[in-house]
Amino acid sequence: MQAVDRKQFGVGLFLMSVLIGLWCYAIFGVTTDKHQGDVYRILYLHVPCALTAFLFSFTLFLVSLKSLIKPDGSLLFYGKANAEVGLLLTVLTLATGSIWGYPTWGTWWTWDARLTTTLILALLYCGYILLWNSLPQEKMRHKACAVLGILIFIDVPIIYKSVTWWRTLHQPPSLMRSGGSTMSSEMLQLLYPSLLWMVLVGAWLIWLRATNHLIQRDLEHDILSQLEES
Amino acid sequence: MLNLYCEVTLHQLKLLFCDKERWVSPILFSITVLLLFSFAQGGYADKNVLEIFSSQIFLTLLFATQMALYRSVEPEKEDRIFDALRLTPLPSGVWFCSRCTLAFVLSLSVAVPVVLMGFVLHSNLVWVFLSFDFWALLLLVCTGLSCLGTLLAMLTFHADGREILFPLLFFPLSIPVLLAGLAGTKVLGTSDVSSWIGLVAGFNVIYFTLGVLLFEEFIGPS
Repeated sequence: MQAVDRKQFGVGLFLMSVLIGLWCYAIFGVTTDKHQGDVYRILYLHVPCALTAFLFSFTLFLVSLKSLIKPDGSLLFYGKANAEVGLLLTVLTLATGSIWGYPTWGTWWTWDARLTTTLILALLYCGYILLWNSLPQEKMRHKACAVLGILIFIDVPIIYKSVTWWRTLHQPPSLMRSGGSTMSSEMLQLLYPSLLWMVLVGAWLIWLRATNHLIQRDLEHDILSQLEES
Repeated sequence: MLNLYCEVTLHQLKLLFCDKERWVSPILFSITVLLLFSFAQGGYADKNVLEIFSSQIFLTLLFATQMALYRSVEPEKEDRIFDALRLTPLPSGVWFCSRCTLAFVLSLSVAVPVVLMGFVLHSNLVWVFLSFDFWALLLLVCTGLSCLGTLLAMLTFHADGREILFPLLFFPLSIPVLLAGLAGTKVLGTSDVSSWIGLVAGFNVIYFTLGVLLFEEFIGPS
């Protein structure tokens, strides 16, 4: 195992252990909510996934903007890794939201503004990955994906404001709102560390995927140059 | 620059209207969809009529323009015009503006009959017909869809599986423009409408600026 692999493995093992510890505490440690029952515990996975997915669309925007201003061969590989992890987190958000929604709202899915705009974000991440894979030329791929990375970020303010712009089944913002959070301090004590750890795990996943993409690119270049030589 | 833009746009408009299928089929499609919506929904409460009218209009517009915009760069592709464009002194921004204008004319040619048909079906909404804000919103939504459609048509120009990729990107990315247009139409006659008009205009500026700046990058050789 190379030094970089060992480092990535060690960091990942530490981050995942703490995250699993936090989830275990959410399941067995915190008291049951008197209104929602045990199902509310999924909040400690759902909210961090959602906020991290939105945060990663912002980092994708920054990476795309930087690569448009100052093109860098390896920077957009981080963009692709970012989109992949963003897609994973968005799908997790939708799945955990559905699991929470069935006992609470009585339905797995409804065409609510918040749910629909989050689904759109997942589709946009899919579109980014598809566009990346379907453009054969590296230079054009970088430009096109950078533009799409900027456009994807436009969806996030709409998702955030959707619960205030339209009458929705999804509750209005309870964490990031003017006048402070409406959640109890006991909930917040676990929610903030879960959020922080999800961001760190997401960043680790991006690092891992981007390293893999860069290795794949170098291998492809090596194979091509060997073929040209022969 | 302006002369060049006018010449190219006029030439392309002539080409567009020579090929009747390119503009007649979206119009017929949109009118059919609107009629189907109307038959399917039947009678409804007066208080919801504006919401239903606006959702029908913008949804129909989305379907029809998606079909038309997907094919917006097909003539250039078939005639290998972009290969020639790279060898001419014509600025690529002029070509993009001209394509946008063409797409705008096409989407407007769909929007106007659809809206007129909508007013026939909803006779109690004549006040909307006379509202300046409604027409401003409609024009801005058409501009937004045209700029976005042209930008995406260029973005996916060299992509494999363009048939899937274009609608996959066009539908989600057009949602902000359509939602703002829809929300603006629902609050017509109040002071809130100006903020929605501003939002649609903001999206238009983003799509247009990105298109003008990056058009040349996307028409490069495959």
